[in-house]
Amino acid sequence: MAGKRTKVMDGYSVVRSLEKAKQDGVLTKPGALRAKEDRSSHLKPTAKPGDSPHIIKTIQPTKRTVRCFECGYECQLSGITNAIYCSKCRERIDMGDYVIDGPWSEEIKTGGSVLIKPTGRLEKVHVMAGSVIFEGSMDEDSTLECTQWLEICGDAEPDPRQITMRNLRISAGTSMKFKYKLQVNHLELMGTLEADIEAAGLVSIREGGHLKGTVRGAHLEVEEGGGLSARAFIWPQGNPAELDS
Amino acid sequence: MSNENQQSIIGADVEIIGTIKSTGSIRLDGKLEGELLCGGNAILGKEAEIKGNITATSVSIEGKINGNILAKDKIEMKATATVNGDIKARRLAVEDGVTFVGRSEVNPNASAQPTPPSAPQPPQQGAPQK
Repeated sequence: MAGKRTKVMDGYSVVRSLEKAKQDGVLTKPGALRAKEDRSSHLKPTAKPGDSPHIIKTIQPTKRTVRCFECGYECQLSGITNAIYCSKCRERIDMGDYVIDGPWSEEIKTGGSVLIKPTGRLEKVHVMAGSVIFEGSMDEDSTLECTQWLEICGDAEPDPRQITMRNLRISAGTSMKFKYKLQVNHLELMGTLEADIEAAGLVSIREGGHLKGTVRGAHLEVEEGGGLSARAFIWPQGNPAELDS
Repeated sequence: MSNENQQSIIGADVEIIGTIKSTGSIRLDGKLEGELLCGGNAILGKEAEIKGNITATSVSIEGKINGNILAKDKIEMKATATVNGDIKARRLAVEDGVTFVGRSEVNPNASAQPTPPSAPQPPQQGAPQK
């Protein structure tokens, strides 16, 4: 019966043939006809596939907080992108990273980072960025605004009145003095800071860091090797006097 | 026989009113209303409550202190510590979670020996005034 023969072996024909062979008992188990391999020299696996760190433990990409310059809405972002749109107001937020190593007078508004190298100088410009590493200088007409971390490094001594930041980090070997009250969220000191500080988050003094002045807040952490020459008002549960009133 | 390596232990159910002097180390878990003068290390446990000044080589705090602390070497404040008073030491370690209200004078880079916070030395004659 040549007419019943399948001329073209499509997927359906293969499945039907296999089912028929299974019913007839012709189909052998996969690998049944293969000669037994001598595995005496093989070592037994010490760990099951489920124990594999490559399968069980995964590394999540680091997330960063991006704040919309227009509405102030904050969102978490992982990975790298050139720009995003605010989920609340749909405003475009540039996410580019900038490196300034010379005179700069072009306005920057980015959710990314700005690195101002020792040779970099801001001239009559307003810079808004997610995080800033400040090693250079700025003239009297320039301002710097960080929605996240401002790190002051090297010999940089920006005028505190010209900078606004959420979190402040003073690098090792750097000294800063704030004449006015400094309000920050987190403060991390590896250098020296003289100020009247009001911190909502954690004030962390690392080895080699030194804080002078006054510190008010809820959380203080001093690593061994850190210095604290200050009046401290640290209440993790809040100021009792304010809570009573 | 030297007592410097010995540790005295004051349990959590003990209350003392007066001054404690010890040449060696001391661990205090009870209550003290008075001064603690310790030649070695003073370990103040979670249940410890002290109303008075503390002087020791090093002080480790987990309990509540109302008074000034002077340590020749190190002050260590654990997360459960509550300190209302001034502190002075060469080295300081503070864990997140402490309650601390007072003045701190800790400068690891300074070579001078710390002096008691309750009795600051008067400025020398002829020295420039700040």
